[in-house]
Amino acid sequence: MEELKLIMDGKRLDGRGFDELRPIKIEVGVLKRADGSCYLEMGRNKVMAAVYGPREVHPKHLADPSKAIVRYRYNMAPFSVEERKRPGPDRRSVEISKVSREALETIIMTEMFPRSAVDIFVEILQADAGSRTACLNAASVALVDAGIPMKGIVTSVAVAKVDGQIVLDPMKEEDNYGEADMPFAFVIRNGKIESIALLQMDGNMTRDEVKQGLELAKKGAMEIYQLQREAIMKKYRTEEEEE
Amino acid sequence: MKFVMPGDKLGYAEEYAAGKGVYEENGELFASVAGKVVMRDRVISVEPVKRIPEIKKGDVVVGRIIDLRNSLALVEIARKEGFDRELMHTGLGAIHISNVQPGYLKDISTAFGYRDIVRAKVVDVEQMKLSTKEEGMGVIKAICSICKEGLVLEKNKLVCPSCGNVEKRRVSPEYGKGRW
Repeated sequence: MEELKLIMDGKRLDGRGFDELRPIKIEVGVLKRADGSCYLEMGRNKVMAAVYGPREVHPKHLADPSKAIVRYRYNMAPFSVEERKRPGPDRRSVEISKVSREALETIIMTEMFPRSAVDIFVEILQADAGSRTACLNAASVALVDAGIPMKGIVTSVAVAKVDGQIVLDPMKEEDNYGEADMPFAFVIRNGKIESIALLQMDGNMTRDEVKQGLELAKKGAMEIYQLQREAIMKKYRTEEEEE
Repeated sequence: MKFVMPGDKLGYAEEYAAGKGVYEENGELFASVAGKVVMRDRVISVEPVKRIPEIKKGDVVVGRIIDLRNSLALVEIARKEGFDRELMHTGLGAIHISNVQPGYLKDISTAFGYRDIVRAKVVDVEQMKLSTKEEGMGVIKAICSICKEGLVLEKNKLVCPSCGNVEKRRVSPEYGKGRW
């Protein structure tokens, strides 16, 4: 079988350079009944995030008397992938939910709301590699929309190693046939990357490749951060003008 | 006025005291919510884009009567007035017979009925004591005790449109004006 070439003439399959993101579209406050919500497209990923709370914890024994608990549900719609996915949580989505929740827990000021819960639901309507990063970006914007106090904003992006080259924000072909991929989530405060809230890796990379990937991810995250800000601004600026 | 997002630096702790929506870390002040910056009396705060309801003394809440005792009416608190957002803790509230109306009330069942929706003022947050003594408070929606039809206010009387039954309540001037 002829080997699939993922990089040709210094360009990727969809014509992007190595350090280019896929087009991103963010809409804030799309769900009427949710306290905060966000619809986000990152290339061919389409995700919807909803935030509820702080609200009463059910079942009651999960409540923490000293702080709020954060619950995160990453769920893929059966029609989000080419082959129908069996509905419901599976090993993969449970793990992604856990690590994503832990990333957001670091910035949400849970101590302000004892004995309550902040629920975050992210639904993947269409998946195309890096859906966990798209979900985190959407969840982060939805949390801001819900007015939940946070220390900063979480922005997430992945890097991958494709044909020996480190590339930003891999798409499906690169994720499936590449050598490695590494999703990141950063805490951004005051326009600067403060810390890494999530880091996973599939495949192998050398020490230098990881370093190179981190730099690439930081650059990509700053671009996404600006888009997240713009989306929130757009929603609330127009509302102000209507008043 | 400046619009900020969570994590935006607002200044130093020496300059201002941290108000609502602002937190301090290592002598620096940051916004914790998105919204407009408000500075008043050296206190810097952020007016959030969406507020989280918090019940304080004197707040008006809306709830449903779920039990009537000898001298108490128990209320399931649904919302704080003016908010369309779930409360953090949805406990029960109690209206004592002495807090139902300005004058003396002999029997609490002549002021409230089971499943009535009431508008009440919070008197005590710790014990969730409510009161409908004040102007504007009282029942805003009631059902007929016989046929469960919604009662209609006709010349200061609550009349059941299907069986003609007349009932007594501590009626709020807001009766029937609620948004459902």
